[in-house]
Formats: sequence, C-alpha cells, structure tokens
Amino acid sequence: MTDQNATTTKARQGALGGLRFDPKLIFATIIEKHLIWALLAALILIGLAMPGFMSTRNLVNVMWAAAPLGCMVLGLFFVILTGGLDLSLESTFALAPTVAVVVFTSTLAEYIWPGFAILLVPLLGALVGWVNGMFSVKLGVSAFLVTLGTLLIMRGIVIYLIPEGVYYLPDEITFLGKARLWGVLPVAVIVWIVLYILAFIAINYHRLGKDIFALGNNEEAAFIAGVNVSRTKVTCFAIAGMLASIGGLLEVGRLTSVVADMGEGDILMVFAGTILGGAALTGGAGTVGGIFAAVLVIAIIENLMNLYGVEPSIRQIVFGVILMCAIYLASLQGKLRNWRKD
Amino acid sequence: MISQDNSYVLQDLTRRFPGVLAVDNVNLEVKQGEIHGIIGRNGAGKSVLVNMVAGILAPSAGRVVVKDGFLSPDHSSPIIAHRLGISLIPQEPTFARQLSVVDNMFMGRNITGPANLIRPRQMARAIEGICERLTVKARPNQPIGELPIESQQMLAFGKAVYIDRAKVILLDEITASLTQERKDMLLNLLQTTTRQQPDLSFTLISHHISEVLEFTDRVTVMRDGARVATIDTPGSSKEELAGWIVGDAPKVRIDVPKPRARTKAPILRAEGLSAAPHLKDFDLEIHAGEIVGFAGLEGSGKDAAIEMLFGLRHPSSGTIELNGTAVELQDPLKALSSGIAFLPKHREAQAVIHTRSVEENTLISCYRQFSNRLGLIARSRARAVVEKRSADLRVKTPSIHAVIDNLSGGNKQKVMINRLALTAPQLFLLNEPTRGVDISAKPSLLKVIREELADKSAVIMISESEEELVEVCDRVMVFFKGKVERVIERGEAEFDVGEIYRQVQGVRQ
Repeated sequence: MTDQNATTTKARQGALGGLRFDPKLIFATIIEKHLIWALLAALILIGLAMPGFMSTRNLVNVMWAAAPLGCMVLGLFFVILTGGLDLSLESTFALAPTVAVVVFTSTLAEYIWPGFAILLVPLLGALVGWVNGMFSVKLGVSAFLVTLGTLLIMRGIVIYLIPEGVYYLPDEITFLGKARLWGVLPVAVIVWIVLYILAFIAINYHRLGKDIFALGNNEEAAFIAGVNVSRTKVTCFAIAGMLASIGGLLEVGRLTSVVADMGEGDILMVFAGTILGGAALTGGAGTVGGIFAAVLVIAIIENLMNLYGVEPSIRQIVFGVILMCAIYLASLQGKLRNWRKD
Repeated sequence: MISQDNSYVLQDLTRRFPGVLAVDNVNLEVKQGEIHGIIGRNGAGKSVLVNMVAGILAPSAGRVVVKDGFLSPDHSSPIIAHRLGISLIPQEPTFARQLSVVDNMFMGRNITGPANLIRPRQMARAIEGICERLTVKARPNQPIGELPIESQQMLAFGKAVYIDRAKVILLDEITASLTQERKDMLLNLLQTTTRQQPDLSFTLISHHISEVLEFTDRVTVMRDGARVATIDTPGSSKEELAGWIVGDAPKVRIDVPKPRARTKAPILRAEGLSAAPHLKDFDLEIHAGEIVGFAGLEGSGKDAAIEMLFGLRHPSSGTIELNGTAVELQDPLKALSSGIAFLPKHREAQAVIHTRSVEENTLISCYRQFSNRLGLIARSRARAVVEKRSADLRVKTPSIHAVIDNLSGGNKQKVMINRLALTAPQLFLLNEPTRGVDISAKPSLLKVIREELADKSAVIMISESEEELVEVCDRVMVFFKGKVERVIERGEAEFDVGEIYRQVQGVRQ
C-alpha cells in the first residue's frame, strides 16, 4: 500500500514538474522525443541568418534535391523496423530507372507507351526487394551478406547496360522528376510527400504497421501471437526496393540523364538519415515523421553548406561531425528516460 | 570473523523485490569439507539466495561471511565474490563458444612468463590434466562450443576447482544436463575433492529430491523465501524431505463448479503424440468448460506437450483431432486459425511486444478482425473493444495507449489473456500463467482463468505450483520423464497438493 502511494505521489510530482516549466525537464523532453525536430528548427534558425536561404526558389530546390534521398531513406526505414537492413538500395535506385530507360530507348519503345515506365520502375524495384527478402528470410542468410551481393550485382548490370550513361530521355520518364506544377512546385516533391503520407498511414493505421512493429520489437512474441513473420519481412524488403526505385526515377528526371554511378555510395547517407530520424538498428523503433525531418535536416545542411560556400572537400567532415553529435544526443535518450523515471 | 571450521555463513540474509520478499532473513552455516544441498520448489527463493552468495544480486539486508571477508548490501559484486573465493557454476555454461578450451578456462588468469607473455604449452598441459581428472574428452585448442553441454558443465566445474581455486563452490541445478553416469562421477568427484582439500565446500541447488539425497551431507529446505529446516541427509528420506518442502498446503479458495456431464464430443483429442526424447505416447481428451493441469518438473515433457498443441513443436508420430477432424499444426498461425490460443511461459521474451501500447499488445493477434479489406484498421471499434476488455479484467493502466512496459507483471499478464481471448479460441493453452506475477495478483488471475476462459472453452494450464493446479483444475496430468505417469481427477483422494508434488518428484509410496 505504501509503495502504491509513493508511486502516485511521484507521478503527481512528475506531472507538476512538467507544468512548472522546469528548464531541465523541458530540455530532457525535447531531446528524448523531439530531437530531430529541434535539430531541424536550429538549422532553419541558422538559415534565417543566411541570405537567400528563405527564398521560395531555394526552399523548393532543397525539397527537390531531398526527394530522391527521402525515398531511399523511407525504404530503408521499413526494413530497419523489422530489424533487417538493405545495402542494395542505392543499386536498386540506379538499376530500375536504367532498365526502364534501356527499354524505352530501344526498338521496343515503338510498341509500348513510354509513360508505362512510371509503372515499370516501381515494379522492378519491388521485385528486386522481394528477391532480397526471400533470400535473407526464407534461406536464413544474413541480410547484410545478401544485399551486399545484390548491391554489387545490380551496379554491375547498370554499368554493363549504360557504360557511358544516357543523356536524352523521353519526357514520360523524366516527368516525375522534372516537371513542375504551375511552374513552381516540382512534381517530385509532391510524389515524395505523398509517399510519406502513405507510409504514415501504413505504419499507423494499417495492419501491416502493427505487424512490423510487433516483430521488430520481439520477433518470437510476434510469431507466437500469430504474426506472419517471414511474409511481413519480405513485404518490407519489397516496399524498400519499390521506394528506392521511385527515388531513382525522381533523380533521373531531376538530372534528365542516367549515369552508371548514379547513387553510388549514397547508402551510407541513407543509413545516416534513417538513424538520425530515430530508427533503431535493432528494429521496432522510429516514426515516419522523424524520418521525414531527418531527410530535411540532411538536405538543409547540404544547402546551407552550398550557400555558405563550404569547400566540397570538407563537407563530408561537417556531415560526419553533425551525425556523431546527433547519435550522441540520441544515445542520451535512453538514459534520460531512466532519469525521468527516478 | 567466522569460526575455523565454517566455509561460509549467512547472517539474516534478506532480499526484497517490489511486492515480493524473495529471501526472508535466512541464517545458515555451511562447514568446510561439506557438500550442502539447498532444496525447495520453484519460487522458494533458492536461486535468489545463491545469487546473493555469488555477489550477482546484492542483498537488501544481512551479510554473507566467508574466511577472508563478507558481502553486504552496499558491498557486493561478482568481482568481490570472486576475490573471496566464491564461485557459482550456473545451470547453462557461460563460455565464449568460439574460443578454445584453454582460452576459456584461463580467461582473465593466463599463466604468464617473462614480459607477461602467456605460456600456451604449460596451460595446455594443465587443461589436459584437468580433462583427465574429470574424464572429459576435449582437446585444449578445440573451440569449447563444439563440446557437448555436459562436458562444458564439467569443465566449468574444473575451472572453479582447479584454476580459480574457489573455496565456496555453488552448483546451480548442474545435474540437469548430466547423464546418470556423469552424475555419479560428479558425486564421487565432489567427495574426493572435499577429502583432498578439506577447506572447500560445495553447495548444490536442486529441486530434485533424489539428487539431493544422493549427493549431499546436509540439506537446507527453503519454502516461501525462508529457511524452514536443515537436515542431515544420511538418515533422511524422500518422504521426510517432501514433507518439509511442501509444508502445510493451504486449502482450496476458488469455487470450482461441478464438472459438467461430458455429453458433447471433446474439443480436442490427441493420441500417441511422441517426439523423442521429450515426450512419449501422449494422449489427451478435453471438453469445453474443462481445465486440465499439466504438472511436472523441467524437462518432464509438459512443455513439449503444450507446445505441440500450438504447432511450436512437431510430433514425430501421433495425431491431433479438433472437433473430430484431424489437423496438422505446422505453426502458430495455423493453430490460431484452428481456434487454439497459447500463452507462452516466458512472458517478457515470448509474449510482450515491448515499447508498444497496451492497445497494440491486446490486439496483435486479431488485427484481421478489426481491419477492412484494404487492411486499414477500424480504430474506434478496436479501441472500444480494448477499453471494454481491459475494464472487464481490471487491467491497471493509465490508459490503453500507455506503453505496456510500465505495467506490473500481473497487469501485463491480463493484457496477454485479453489478447488470447480476443481470438475467441475453443482451447486456451496457458504455460505458467502466474509466472512473474505478484502473489497478491495471482488469485484474481486464477479466477479469470476459471470463470472467464473456461466458461465456454477448454483450458490447458501448466503451473509449477501444485496449489494453483489444485485450486483451478478439473484434472491434473502428472508428467515424469516424458510420460504421463498419472491422471488425477478432482474429487479423488489424491487430488491434493502434497500428493501431486510427490508424483511430480517421482516419489512412490
């Protein structure tokens, strides 16, 4: 009985503490729950001081450049939620649009409407993801090794198909990445935001999301509770492949060309974004909103460095330092949670 | 600090957990050269007790005193215990599986020569000597994970005695993974070792009466966290020990309805289920409204049987019929869709979806019911059902959106029961539903099982506590070494805590 009283008093004190604007507690709450948003706000504040940052043109460009990366990050997020990972996303990112471009610049193009590419690319991406998933889940091979293999294979195929790149693309293929609505808003940004909204719904309002979180948090419990663990995992891989390929299509349109090294090395930044957004490598943690903010953070940092004229050679260092700080702050989250409990 | 011939002494040793007094004011003197047994049922406090002696758990009060020092509430850690010559050999060997036998055995205390370079040949020779003495077949440079568990167990023993040269050696259920032959060998080894090194003492934790009788000089019986007796083993008997262990069993508290006439066909019939070596020829027939209890020791086949009925294990022979039709239960999904729900034994590891809400934890098995054809969830309908269920079972939580990890064990278990009930099964399989639940919360949980779950469905329940089985079951099946030795119906004279306990232990009168 006394124990119970003690806990309720403590709970009451906790609630009051929140109301009393204890700066320590507010700071803790921000770091614990809204770290990435705080970071985003800080960057925007810095941006306000930077001439040219707040112009519509610049902001649109930031979003536009963020869209392809945003798709890949969202894809990886799905896989990481299940406790897996997919290194091959950057190759899927290149391969799916490449295949579409090859098909629609060949003689086949006469028989198929080029707009079909918009359908073909995601399907290809999903197929690649599905294969990754089947290999890693059904055969019980580690996802790291499987996707490392497909990363290399798919990059090889891209280099084989378009060693010199393709610089003249049909409008239907570049439409998603290049067009602007009313001459201002890039379609790519709309696509990106729509995908995030769909993902938000899938994660929070769909059965799939519940299954993903269940198995990401406790796979054995999910299995015993009747979650179809292997199917859910494979589905996540397929979603990831599909999102990466859509990202590739946006990138191809934005640059109005396909090159063999498109997206090469991007996977590291994709991981950085996913972790920065609050996903845990162990699975079962993270929100779509956090991921979205993380992508914006990365894009804004890049943009600010552009505006400030930071030497390209040291940009990586800046990124690395920011990432380390963010990861350190994120590691505080767990400790803070305990601190608040005491 | 302690008298010359004592190996270690416990002084008013106490350990409290939230809501539970796990070890209550235990005083004990263990002599040098003694093989001492600690026996009691699950939850009697023996594990907590030895973990305190080994410095793994700090006591809430009291001290553990040995020749060279002591452990107390603010002076306790495995490292201190180690320095004082206390060594615990756990039930499962905790070796680094990929490393060699030598590296594991000498971990942290390599034999070194000049310039601190290790001396591999000398260490290998030492290992060969130990292996010979323990009659373990192992090459010094072999990865230890390649060895069978029982050899690893023997090596853990060898490390404690010959390498760490511990003076107080605790063996926690070490015999569980040993064959009879090995057990006899170990017994002889314990006796010769104590003769050669009379300053040693062995403490053997077990819940097998026969083992304790075989191995020890004296035995301490624990019950409900307290030391109830210390007996000289020679001259004692299984019956005497069993009597001490069970104590005065409390009387039945829950009103169990008279068994209904079994006119209907059984819900489930299992025939000849076998999976060597865990289970042999298991038969069962269960009707709606019935609760069947499975009693037995660890490894007696009760877990294998319940897991088979949920598709977590697959029988090598035998059939399962549900409502008269044969079914093959490949996996939990199939079992659930056939109307069987399962509550696993290890709630935190196998049931709770951590960091997620009470609502999600309740619904995870039945989101299908609450989603439309696109898979989108009908949130308000789902929430209403969870609210109602949680209120019905009096789940204490600030809201159904609260993270489940903040709930107490009993309330988490109620959430799990709601999860099972929402799948509307014909058969509930409950593997130790009261495990990790506060004593105060147990009665209400048992009431729910008896009155809600067994109302329309059938229930199979495993419990380590014979009282619970006697309280709620209509029938108790006693498993012993993979077979059902006895089925006791409510109303029979033997439907009694003490008798079931003796049956579980394999004690015959």
